[in-house]
Amino acid sequence: MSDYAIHVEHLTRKFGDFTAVNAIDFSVETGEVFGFLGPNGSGKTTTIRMLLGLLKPTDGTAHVLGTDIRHATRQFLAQVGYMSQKFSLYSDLTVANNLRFFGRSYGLYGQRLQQRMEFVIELAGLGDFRHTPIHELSGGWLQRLALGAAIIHEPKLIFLDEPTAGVDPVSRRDFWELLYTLSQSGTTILVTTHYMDEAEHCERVGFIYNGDMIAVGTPSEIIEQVVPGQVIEVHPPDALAAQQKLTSAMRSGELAAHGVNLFGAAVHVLTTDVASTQAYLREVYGATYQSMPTLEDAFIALVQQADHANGGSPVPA
Amino acid sequence: MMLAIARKEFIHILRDRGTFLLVTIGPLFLMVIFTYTLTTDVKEAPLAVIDLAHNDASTALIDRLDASPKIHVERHLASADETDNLFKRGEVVAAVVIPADYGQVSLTRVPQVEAIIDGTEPISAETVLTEVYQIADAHSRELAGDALQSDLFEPPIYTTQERLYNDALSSKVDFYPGLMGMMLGLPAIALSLSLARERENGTLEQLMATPIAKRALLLGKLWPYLGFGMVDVYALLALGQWVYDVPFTGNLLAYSLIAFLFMFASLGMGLVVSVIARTQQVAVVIAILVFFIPPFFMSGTFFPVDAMPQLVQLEMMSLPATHFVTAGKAIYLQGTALRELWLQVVLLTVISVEMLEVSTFIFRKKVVGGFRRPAPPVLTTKENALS
Ligand SMILES: Nc1ncnc2c1ncn2[C@@H]1O[C@H](COP(=O)(O)OP(=O)(O)O)[C@@H](O)[C@H]1O
Ligand SMILES: [Mg+2]
Repeated sequence: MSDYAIHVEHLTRKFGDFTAVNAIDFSVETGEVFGFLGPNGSGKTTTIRMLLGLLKPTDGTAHVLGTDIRHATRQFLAQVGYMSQKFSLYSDLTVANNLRFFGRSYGLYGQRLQQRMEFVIELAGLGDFRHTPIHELSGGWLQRLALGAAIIHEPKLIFLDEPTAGVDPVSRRDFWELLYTLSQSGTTILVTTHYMDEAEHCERVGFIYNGDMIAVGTPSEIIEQVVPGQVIEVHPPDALAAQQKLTSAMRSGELAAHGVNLFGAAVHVLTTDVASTQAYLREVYGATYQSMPTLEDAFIALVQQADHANGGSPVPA
Repeated sequence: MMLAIARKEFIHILRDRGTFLLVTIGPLFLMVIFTYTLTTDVKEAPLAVIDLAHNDASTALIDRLDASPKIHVERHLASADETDNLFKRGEVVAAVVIPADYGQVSLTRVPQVEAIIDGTEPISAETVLTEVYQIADAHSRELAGDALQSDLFEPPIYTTQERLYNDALSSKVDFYPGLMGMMLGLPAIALSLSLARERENGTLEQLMATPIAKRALLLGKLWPYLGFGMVDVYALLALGQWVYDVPFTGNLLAYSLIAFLFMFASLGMGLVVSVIARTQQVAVVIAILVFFIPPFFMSGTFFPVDAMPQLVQLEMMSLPATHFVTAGKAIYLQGTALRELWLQVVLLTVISVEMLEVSTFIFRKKVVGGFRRPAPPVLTTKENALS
């Protein structure tokens, strides 16, 4: 267990009769960047709160840095960093004051506090804004500052809850660069997101849906398992109608595919029998494009399977 | 770490204009407004007269009463029996009974005028009482002439109160130290708001993930408000002393100790409110109910505690303001020594510790994040239809 930074067994959290997290299992190895993915309301934040000891599990256990989270202590909290989902710095304080405050909250003082503040300001590129009240900063800067505040005490493990939500693509890319830098220095990172493109940056991912962990593995493992083969893309005039038609063709066995998904104005057909599927689609829709399936394809397939198992309704009550 | 919280909170207070005003000039401002409405000059207060003498002297007295700008003789009654009804209907606030022997002054005795006062109208009735006293006193002296030696002179008036709430009518001097208990609730309200705000903003969750102990977090937030609260205490004392002529007679150090304990207990209650309340709105409502209304009605400012139902009395014993008003008034007005007020010191200390422990306890039990209605899961990647 000790080479795992996080080891979760049957972790469950209920709010009343509503099960927000349903007996999930997963592990994160030390030094890994683990992507915790899932649509809004699927239980990511609830899981992180439990892993930090902020919320008691209804059932199951988890060990984080070797500590049983049911008995999380202040010493434990001093070793982990947390950037919560809601923007949670003090907007009336300056950059330096925010960092100083969080540094002190983690018990840093004097020389070491100064040193860490400088390091973080440097890392986040906030040198010019040291004395700016942070309500004057824009989204991307704030995101980096919040990350800086979360790592001021040099934690071994950090939890980032949707750190890039609502930030422009360029800032998002910069932010991920920062995460790589951190990861290279040995920090274990658990990051949640609902941006599927970001998931590909992670060494391993876990996908949670309606409280159930429906897949865990490296991105390529998951793709291999869930959506083997290739994606054939077509651009029919009426994508929705085409998707429905192709789905019934697939069900009747006429089309040798295992998934037909709508992607905006395009339809993705997943298949291992590339040649015959391509021929079939060319005949009906003309040009086809061939590509490797992405994590997104895999997740759509997983969600469909999960919904199917739930009697077809996309949201269980 | 507690110091870090205190320092941060101090900056918040300085930066947030609303909070700053609330904890600095707020109490003074409120006091000025309050004392203004309580002591504005009473003009033409309605008075009933029961003239049992019907002689020149009594007619002269009635004329003088009516001539006073503060009094208007509203009714002439045959007997005092009707006054209660008039009080209930609010037609008059006081009645004056002139005895049958009015005007017959001897060396040792003056016929006394009886003033009946509506105890539910303490402010205007008090004014009327003072005015009637002065007029009757002057008139009696004139009637007696030089024959009378003033030290033999009995008061020319005695007072009866109907619909009694208070044995002695409050005067500005009496209620000023009591009102301070109410005004000093403002810093506690500001503190309640501050924690509720952190919960709403999500910064509280971030704080919970740091190794700061819960008690240290709460205490750290409390200290700056305590500092501002003590400044308010001295500002109010100065206001009383130099603006309202309510002389401070006691030991300032003793008073400071009582005020400090009161502020701590009251802020502790503010913490309890804020760990219970989920939003700032809820915090404000609870805080007003806890800090304003009870001290106003119950801390003996206007109505004596003894006259209240036992249950209410019991509840009041748990309110810091009650003990502050009792002890503060004694030191302020009578110069009572601290050792005679040991009970209040002990009670305030007990309430302080209790409030801190209760708020820490609730805070520890509290679920992070609070309730949010389940949102239906939506994939927000690209638009994709899930069949
Ligand atoms: N304190 C709470 N009380 C009741 N329900 C909650 C609470 N916190 C979260 N939930 C519900 O649990 C589900 C999972 O929420 P959350 O973990 O925040 O999802 P995510 O972070 O994946 O968006 C949601 O339906 C949410 O409404
Ligand atoms: Mg979330």
